[in-house]
Amino acid sequence: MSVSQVRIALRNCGVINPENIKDYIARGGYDAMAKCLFAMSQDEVIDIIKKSGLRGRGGAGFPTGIKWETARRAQSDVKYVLCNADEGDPGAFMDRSVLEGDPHAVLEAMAICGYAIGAREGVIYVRAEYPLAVKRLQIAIEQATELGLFGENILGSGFSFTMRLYFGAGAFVCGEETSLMNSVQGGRGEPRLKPPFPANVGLWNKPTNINNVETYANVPTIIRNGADWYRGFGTEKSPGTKVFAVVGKVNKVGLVEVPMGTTLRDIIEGIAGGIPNGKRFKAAQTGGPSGGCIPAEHLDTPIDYESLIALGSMMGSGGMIVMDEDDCMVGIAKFYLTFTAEESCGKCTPCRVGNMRLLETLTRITDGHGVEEDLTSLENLGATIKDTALCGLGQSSPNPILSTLHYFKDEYLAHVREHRCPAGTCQKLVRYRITDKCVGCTVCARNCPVSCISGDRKQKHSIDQSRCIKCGVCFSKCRFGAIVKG
Amino acid sequence: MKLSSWEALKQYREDTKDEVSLLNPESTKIILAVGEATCGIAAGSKKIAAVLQEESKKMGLDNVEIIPTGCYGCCYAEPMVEVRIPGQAPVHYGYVNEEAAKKIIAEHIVKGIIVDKNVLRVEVTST
Ligand SMILES: Cc1cc2nc3c(=O)[nH]c(=O)nc-3n(C[C@H](O)[C@H](O)[C@H](O)COP(=O)(O)O)c2cc1C
Repeated sequence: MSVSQVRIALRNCGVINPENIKDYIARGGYDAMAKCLFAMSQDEVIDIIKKSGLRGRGGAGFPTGIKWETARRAQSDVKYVLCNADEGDPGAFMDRSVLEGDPHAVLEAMAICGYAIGAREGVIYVRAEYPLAVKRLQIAIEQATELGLFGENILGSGFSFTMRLYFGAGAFVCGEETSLMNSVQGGRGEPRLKPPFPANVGLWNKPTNINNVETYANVPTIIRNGADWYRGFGTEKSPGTKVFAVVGKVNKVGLVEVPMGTTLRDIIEGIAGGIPNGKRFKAAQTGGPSGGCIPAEHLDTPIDYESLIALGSMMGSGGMIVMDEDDCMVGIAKFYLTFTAEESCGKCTPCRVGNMRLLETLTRITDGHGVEEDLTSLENLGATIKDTALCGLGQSSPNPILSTLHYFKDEYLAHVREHRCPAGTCQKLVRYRITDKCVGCTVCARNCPVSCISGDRKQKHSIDQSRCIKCGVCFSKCRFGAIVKG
Repeated sequence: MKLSSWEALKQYREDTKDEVSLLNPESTKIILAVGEATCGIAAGSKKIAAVLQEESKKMGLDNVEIIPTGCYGCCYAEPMVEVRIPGQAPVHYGYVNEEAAKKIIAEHIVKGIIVDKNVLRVEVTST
């Protein structure tokens, strides 16, 4: 199967030398900014972004043009343009790749936004764990400033714009825009209630436009080619393309940029080359810790913001973790809850305490002490946290549980009713058995660290379950495939 | 140097045409673009870039320029090298180890024979 990618946000990634501004300029770079400064009014710029239908790529999919318009209308002598390069979703690296491969695209877009909303300063909030992205951004800012593409009176237009980096220390909650702004101001990375939205009350309480890296990366091409051109890709409600970081059980791990409306199947079986080792696809996790797991029966759903929400997941920033039959869905839910429980800032009770309780319940289930009522309590508590948490972190943290409960209830039931993990990954539930394929070579018995395998040479061996510590050494040492787990 | 107008930016683009690392039919320069995003570097692309440099020198090639580039999306196949020879279609190579890097220079650059084993075909519509 052959599915072609369409590269808009990634158009220069892997093509130009990101440390040489001449490459970027040769590809038409900074023409979009110049076009705005010399040939378009602020309202015209906003209008083109609105008409393009570009929606935020950082998670929620809010229309970018409307956000810019709100910031433009806000009355203030000082405004800011912020770039969210915090990228905290486990397994996601779209934004890192854009910054490492094409930093100028983001910088140019921020200057365009600054012109459109009337801001003179841009701040990029980038995680310090991305040293190469930081380095390339620094080089890019330096080279562009040297050429007079940033700074005072850009290209003689009268418009001035400066760029600054701010390093995040890797807290997931700091990707949430109000926490991010607190963090830039030197405060605790804690969110606040919205409204007021950043477009009105943002950084240092000034009107601020905040967009994600990939959102910005789309802007210069939209300005250059027009809104209709952009709408030629993707769907009616979700125009353009989306970058996904496809990882997990696929043959071709990497970045994929496809028009919105492409199916999961085209991405996973087509571009990413399918599942390795002849295993069966089980689920695709999208939306990171805020998202959910999409099962095989929905592989043919065209992906856009709305369809993913309808499936109980979400677009998120573009992480796509593919799982096969060896992955336990209860274990996956527990992985995400461990993450969110740890990353909760603790400001609001539902998130601070609720996620902890969810995690405890999940741990009970994966340890083999779960009861059927636990499933109902996961559902009830999950719904309550979603309804009452202060920010997007808590409002979405139960999603990995709720979606796996919805699509993979059987697996939860096997855990609580039979204390069995069908995928064989929950260590405390796993049982190793020796089958008739055993030839009595004694390798397992000799390698067992607790000597709980017995049997005569050339005779079938057996495992003393009461003493087995489920380390899996016998399973991996057996050369005859005679040991099974489950 | 500060550019003082849109015209000046366009002029700068024109003036630096020969200094860029994109495929340029009018140039005699051969570009080897090595994937040096985090994925490439983790797979050992810095070493591959050094090998390419060394081998070109050994072969006395003075029109070869090795540049770093970002992630082409094929993290699975890193280290990647793209060969850009003026007048020819660019060739993407994947899984480039030291041996393959030496072959790219000795076979592709010197003799014009593409190293089939490492060719990577990625369907991408660029904009
Ligand atoms: C817990 C949490 C983490 C977030 N992390 C990120 C992030 O890493 N990157 C990002 O761009 N947006 C993140 N967001 C979304 C931002 O709050 C915000 O919506 C986004 O930066 C807006 O940009 P956009 O409209 O271009 O998507 C996060 C939201 C929440 C609730």
